[in-house]
Amino acid sequence: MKRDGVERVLNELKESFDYIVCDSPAGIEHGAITALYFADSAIITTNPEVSSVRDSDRIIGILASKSRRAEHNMEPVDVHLLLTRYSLERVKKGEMLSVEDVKEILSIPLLGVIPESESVLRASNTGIPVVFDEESPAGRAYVDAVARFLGEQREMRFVQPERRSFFRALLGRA
Amino acid sequence: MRLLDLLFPERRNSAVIARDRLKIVLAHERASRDAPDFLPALQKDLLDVVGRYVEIRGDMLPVNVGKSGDTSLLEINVEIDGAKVKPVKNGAAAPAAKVTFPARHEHETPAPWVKPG
Repeated sequence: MKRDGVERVLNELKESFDYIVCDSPAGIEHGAITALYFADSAIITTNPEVSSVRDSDRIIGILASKSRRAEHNMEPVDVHLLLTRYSLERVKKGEMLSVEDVKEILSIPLLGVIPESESVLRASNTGIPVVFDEESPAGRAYVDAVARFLGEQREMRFVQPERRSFFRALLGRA
Repeated sequence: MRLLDLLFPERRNSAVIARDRLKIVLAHERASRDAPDFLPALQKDLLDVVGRYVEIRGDMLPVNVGKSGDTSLLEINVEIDGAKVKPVKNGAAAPAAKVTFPARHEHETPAPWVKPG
């Protein structure tokens, strides 16, 4: 799909919707750049991994210089960070970049942290969005992130250690 | 701690390594992303000038734009090999007008203010 085609579709959708979510392919290929061109806001979704954070930094650069808003000297695209597949346990062991690390490196405001969770694959397998799984920490974290995007103040969950369960305490794990 | 790292390299905190790697890679990428368009042309001109006196290759003369606080810096490092200094006539640096370009430059268009020949 070319840029003018995307523009036509977006203009049509604007007639009926307040928000249009445009998912972009991972990486920085043509598709991603077409998807971001017309953005008013962008949710930079990244894993705490070197390659993922690196691509995110490039995309942030492209949003700032090659998006429609940048080319027309308008207000810059409103950029947010969504950190996914986060494992507090691995962060504490020093095996994973922390949310503070990623925030510092990319220096954009944090929208949410999605914990690594088995429920995500289950949701994907069954085709039922993970936000409908009320038991799922990832689902709850996504709901929080959406609420924050819409202007609500919600505390970050899953970035602080949870209370030790008796079983884990027995095993000596945090 | 260093000794421990040497003895047990697998024990090094990989998140710290990831952070350091990212910082280095991104510093490079951001610098080239924000670089003004004239840098390659500037580098070529500088190479032409320095190349009159010393044998030099492009990778020995990196031209970058950096930032220090609020000040933009044009950073040019010239690495020269003392052994490859070209002979200078009359004991003084050859004035620009009399310079003949070395063979490897002949096919290129000289800078507009340099008289050909």
